[in-house]
Amino acid sequence: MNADTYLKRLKFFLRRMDPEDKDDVLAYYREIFEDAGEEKESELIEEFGTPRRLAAEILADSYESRSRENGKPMSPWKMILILLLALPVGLPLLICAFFVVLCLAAATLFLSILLICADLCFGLTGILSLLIGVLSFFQSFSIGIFYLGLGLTSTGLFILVTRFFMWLFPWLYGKLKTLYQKTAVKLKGQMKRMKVKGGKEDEKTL
Amino acid sequence: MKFQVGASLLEACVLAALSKEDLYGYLLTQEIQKVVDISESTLYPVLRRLKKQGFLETYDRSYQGRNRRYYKITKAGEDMLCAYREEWCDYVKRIDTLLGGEQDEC
Repeated sequence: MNADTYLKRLKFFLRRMDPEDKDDVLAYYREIFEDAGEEKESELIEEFGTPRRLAAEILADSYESRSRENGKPMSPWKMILILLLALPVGLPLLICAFFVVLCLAAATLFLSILLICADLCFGLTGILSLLIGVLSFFQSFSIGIFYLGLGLTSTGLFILVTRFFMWLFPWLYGKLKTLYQKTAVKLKGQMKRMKVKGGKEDEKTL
Repeated sequence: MKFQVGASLLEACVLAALSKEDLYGYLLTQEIQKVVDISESTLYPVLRRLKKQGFLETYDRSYQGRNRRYYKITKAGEDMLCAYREEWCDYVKRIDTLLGGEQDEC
């Protein structure tokens, strides 16, 4: 293979490249061949590797540099445009998500209020029934037993549910606290990283 | 065993070679090959990157009825070379604290 056929094959394997870039590549390698002289032709071809391999190397490098350019931070205008385009779909979704979260929070709140009310009722019924039971025990044995039983059951339920709440609330508090702390740490880390990044970019522009 | 020459070190070498005089592709390759062992084909991507970043520019001269493309360092390229030189000094010192030893150890 001589230089001409080598370059022709290289051109073939670079056919997907941008025409201007391709001409640039081919001109560069043609020049190297010409400057090296005919006697060094085969040596050069050996060093370049096959046209296919050289083309692959060049293409890989151009893709890499292009993707690095794409990795640049988005300009604020582009960001705003994308946000505007996303609004018709994003806004309803956002509103839905907001209401779902709101409903869940409200439901949780009402449920706990309900449970607390029920608990208080158990407690009240328990004490009252016990009182009535003790008082009516002397009048009628069966009524007294009935009220005493009701009172004991209610008091038992009251103690159970109250114990549950006494476990639940500190547990919830702890969970929320760790969640808050974790988010705070994460946000702090992000801010720090952004600051470092910004600083580096400043250095670069200097 | 040889040390691999990374992309940024190669860029720095090219800028340094061009800071003395403008060179065309083949001669530039020869100059670089005098100091580091690289293949003839490795330099093209480096030159392209440097040109894209504005660290060097090209101009064409005809030579014996054909074209020769010369590479010339820009002002930005000279600034970059300065930064590379500082970085290199620092780098050598740091590596030397670990790797450098007495001459007779070798």
